[in-house]
Parts: sequence; structure tokens; C-alpha cells
Amino acid sequence: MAHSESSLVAPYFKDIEQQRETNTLGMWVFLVTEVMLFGGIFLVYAVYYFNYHDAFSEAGKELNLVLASINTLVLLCSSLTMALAVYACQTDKQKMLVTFLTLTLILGAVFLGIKGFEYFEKYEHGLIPGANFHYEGEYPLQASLFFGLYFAATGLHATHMIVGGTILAIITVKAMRGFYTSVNYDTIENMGLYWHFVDIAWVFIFPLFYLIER
Amino acid sequence: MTEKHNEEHHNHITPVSTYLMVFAGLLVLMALTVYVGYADFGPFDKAVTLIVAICKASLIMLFFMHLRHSSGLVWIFGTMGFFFLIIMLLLSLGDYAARGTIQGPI
Repeated sequence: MAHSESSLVAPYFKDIEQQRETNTLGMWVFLVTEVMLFGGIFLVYAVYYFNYHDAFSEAGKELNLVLASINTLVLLCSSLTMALAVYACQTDKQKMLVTFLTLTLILGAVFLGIKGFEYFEKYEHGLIPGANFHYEGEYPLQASLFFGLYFAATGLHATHMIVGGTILAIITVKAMRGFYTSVNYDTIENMGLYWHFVDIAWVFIFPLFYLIER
Repeated sequence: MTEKHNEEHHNHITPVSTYLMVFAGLLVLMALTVYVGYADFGPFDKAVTLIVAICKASLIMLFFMHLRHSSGLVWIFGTMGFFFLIIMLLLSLGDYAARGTIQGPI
């Protein structure tokens, strides 16, 4: 599907540059609200961390650092492949674009798979807050709070991965049909912005929860 | 002249080599994060961990998210989220500390 530049510009924009900048800006505005959404969880975490320092340190040791480190690596790789997909689209390399979008999608799925296994591990150890919460340590009440925050933060992050992955899958199918070109790459660019934001959220979740007083 | 400037501004295509270099930097910082997590920096332990995380986030925003070659308006929004986040964290934690709710280790 070949697009002429003028057919891509909405009538209320001066030219494609202005439209592109508006698209980018709109995505950043959305990401500001996302920062505040994750920020709320980080604030609650900070308050309780200072209050129940010892209990949180003890509970943090229950988390699987090896799996989380692998996941950090997987997510960084997926950020790279997403960035390269944007490059491919900007330079009109259609095959490369589809390849890197697919790779990003696969890496995202790997992340969610590992995350799912981690959750299963927590379930088996009885570390999901609620009626069946079973914790051997010294401060079970405070530990329950820690795991509640852990599931809130990583759960919100995983939800973002699922939503992002779904949109990415749709974009990948459209890219296979040659919908995106070096002129029409705003959607790929914005997908990249979202994907990198989700990576940044993990960059903070990882040390805060997994590396707490090792 | 303005037009030429605009073109440089919006159509900048980050080369693959830059992406790879930033990725290498992120890997080094990731290894550093884990190392810092295990090492003991005394009272600055958490601060060092956070500084490394902020460095990683900055690299991702500047290069992967193309903030480096974005217009001033995008810069304002790119940093605004963190600006308000810092206000929220500082004022709230300051309040908790001043009321004596934060009692230190139990």
C-alpha cells in the first residue's frame, strides 16, 4: 500500500512534520499520566519501606532474583529490537521492520512467561496476600503488605506488557501488509515510546523490590 | 533557514551504531545494578541503586525514545512526569517524616 504524503496529512495540520510532532507530543502526554500511575505505587512502597524496613528486607529475600535478572535482560533486548524496528521503518526496510517487530513480540511473551512462572512460585509458597497467606518469617503482617505491593507493581507492569503486546501484534500484522513506510511511521514511533516506557517502569521496579537489602 | 532547521529536528534518524552502543551501556548499568544491590554502601545503599536506575532511564529516554533530537515542547513533557513525581514523593515523605509516622527500623 503506497501512500502519497499529502493523503496522510489530516486537513487540520499544516504539513506532515506538524502532524508528526503532534502525534509524538500526544504520546508523551499520555506517558506523563502513566508515570504518575506507577508513581503512586512507588510512593506507598517508599512510605512502608521506611516504616517496616526490617520486615521488607526479610520479605524481599523470598523473591527470585535470578529470574528477575533474566527478565531485565529480556526486556532490555526487546527495547533494542523495538528501537531497531523504528529505524527499519524510518529507512523503509520492510523485511527488517517485520523481523524486529516480531522479535519484540516474542521477547515480550518470554518476559510474561517468566513472570507467570514467578507468580506460580509465589502461589506454591503461599505468598499471595489473603486468606491463604502463609509466611514463616518474623513479621507476617508487614510481609503481607510487601507482597501486596509486589503484586500491585509487577501486576500493573504485566498488564501494560499485555496491552502493549496486543497492540504490537496488530501493528506487526499491518506491517506485514506493508502499511508502514518511511513517511508513515508515526504509529511505530509511538509504539516504541510506549514499549520503552514500560521498560523504564521495570528499571525502577527491579531494584526496588528484588534488590532490597540483599 | 527555518525549514532546514526543522528538517534536522524532526527527521533525524538515529543510526544503528548508536542504538547498539546505548544497549551496551544499558547492559553495563544492569550488571552494576545487581552488583550495587549486593554490595554495601552503608546509608547510601538505596541512593546508589536509585542513581544507577535513573542513569538507565535517562539513556533509554534520550536515545531509544529520541528525546535527544526532539523539540523543546516534547522535552518539557518528557521531563514533566518525573518533575511532578519528585514533588509528590518529596512532599509526601517529608510529611510522614515530620509527623513522626516514619519511625525507622522496627
